[in-house]
Amino acid sequence: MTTTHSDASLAAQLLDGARNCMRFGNVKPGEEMLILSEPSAELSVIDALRAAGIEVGARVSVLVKEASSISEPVSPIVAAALAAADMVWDLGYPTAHTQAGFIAAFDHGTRNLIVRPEAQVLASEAALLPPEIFFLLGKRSQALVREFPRVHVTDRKGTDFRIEPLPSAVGPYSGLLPYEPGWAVPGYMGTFPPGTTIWGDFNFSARGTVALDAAYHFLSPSEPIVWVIEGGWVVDVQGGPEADEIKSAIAGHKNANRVAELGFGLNPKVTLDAGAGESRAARSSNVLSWSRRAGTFFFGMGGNALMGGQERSTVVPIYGVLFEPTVTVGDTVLIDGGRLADISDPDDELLALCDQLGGRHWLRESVTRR
Amino acid sequence: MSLQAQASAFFADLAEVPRATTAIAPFPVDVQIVTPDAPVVIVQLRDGALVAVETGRLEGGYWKLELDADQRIFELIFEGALTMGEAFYAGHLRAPEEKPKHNITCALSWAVCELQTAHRRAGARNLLELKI
Repeated sequence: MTTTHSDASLAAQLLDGARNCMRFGNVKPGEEMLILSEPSAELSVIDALRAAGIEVGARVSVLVKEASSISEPVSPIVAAALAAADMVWDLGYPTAHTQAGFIAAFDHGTRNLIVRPEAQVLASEAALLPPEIFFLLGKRSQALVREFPRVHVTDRKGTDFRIEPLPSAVGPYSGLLPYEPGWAVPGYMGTFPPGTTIWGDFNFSARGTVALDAAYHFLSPSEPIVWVIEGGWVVDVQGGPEADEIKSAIAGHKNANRVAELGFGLNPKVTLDAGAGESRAARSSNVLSWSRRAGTFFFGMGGNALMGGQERSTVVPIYGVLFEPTVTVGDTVLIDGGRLADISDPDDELLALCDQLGGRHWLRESVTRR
Repeated sequence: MSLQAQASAFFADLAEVPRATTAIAPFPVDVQIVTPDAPVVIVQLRDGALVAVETGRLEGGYWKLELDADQRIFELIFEGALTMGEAFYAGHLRAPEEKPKHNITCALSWAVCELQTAHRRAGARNLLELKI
């Protein structure tokens, strides 16, 4: 088999993305690194992560599990691997939201980051964004929501949603310091490429209607999937056949319709392109990754134990995303029609940071070709 | 035995358990243990070692980590019968600032789990003699 120039070029791009993965995940020599995959993941992604892990000096293991439903616990074998690993790159359904993933993070310090199992993502600009830029955007936006905990979300499709988050519930991606994102430390959870500012709904203040552009594993539903939210619970799911499938997925599962988490994306390089992966896990991961694009807003419906809440569920949360919301925090328009103000109108501190990290092009949003 | 005394006994040999020390050392945390009935207990950890266990309540605090539960839940944790992760997942234990202090929460939870394991292996409190 011959290697073409484009093959070599893609491999090099993937390796660059994987190296940034290792930086963000804070992978150190001697650490146990697990690549947790499903059969549908692209081998080139696994190869790149493996090579970057070895390059850092980690000991790499790859475990391929069969795809499972969102309400099925992980196997004891996977649970043991999660607990034993220092760092997990999760290419399937997010195990961080399972009981085993939760215990691994809290009782064993496992860091767990979800990576889309498609080469086009790891080879993209989004995977190369210097984490320091994400950290600054996250620190600022977290502070804003904590200071003015009144959030109003609207969009042109009829979304009209309000929440008053508890300041103590705003995160995540905390590194060595509380209240602000930083390099991965034990128990770290999230996605790569990063990332978001999120919060839970511990005071049950979430209410309104959201007309989602994508949700669950539906990348382009036949019509918007509408969640009707009252007092912190999704009380109705409306729309086409996709809405019916979501209702079926949560039916009979305690707390599966709780508003688990919500927030907005911060990465200007994440596109809204659909991935090549056709498995349910790949498409679900695709929806989740869109929530990382700067200027989107997302909702997670399901158990909120991972957020520090008390309504746990055996069902992995179902995520939905708004592509072009307008988000007002207090009296500040943080996102205007899908454009994050910090990026549309960057200040001197952000520009100086970009200059240090290779240039201001990091703030130019990557173009979506959907 | 008071909750303060139980906390003191549990964390006393933290510095003798390397994996537990490593887990919590980066965070100079004041763990505030809140129950419905017992006095609030504050466990001060610095550089991976126990500094003091006092009663009282901290107002604010950048490095404070508040944990809320029934007293029995903390007793089960100190006895080694329940991990913090299990207690959190079951909804028996709450950290009101978990999200912005997920780092400290996980570091403490991990250190506690390591300490429980060391206690169990050493037959409870003979760690210093065994030099584990």
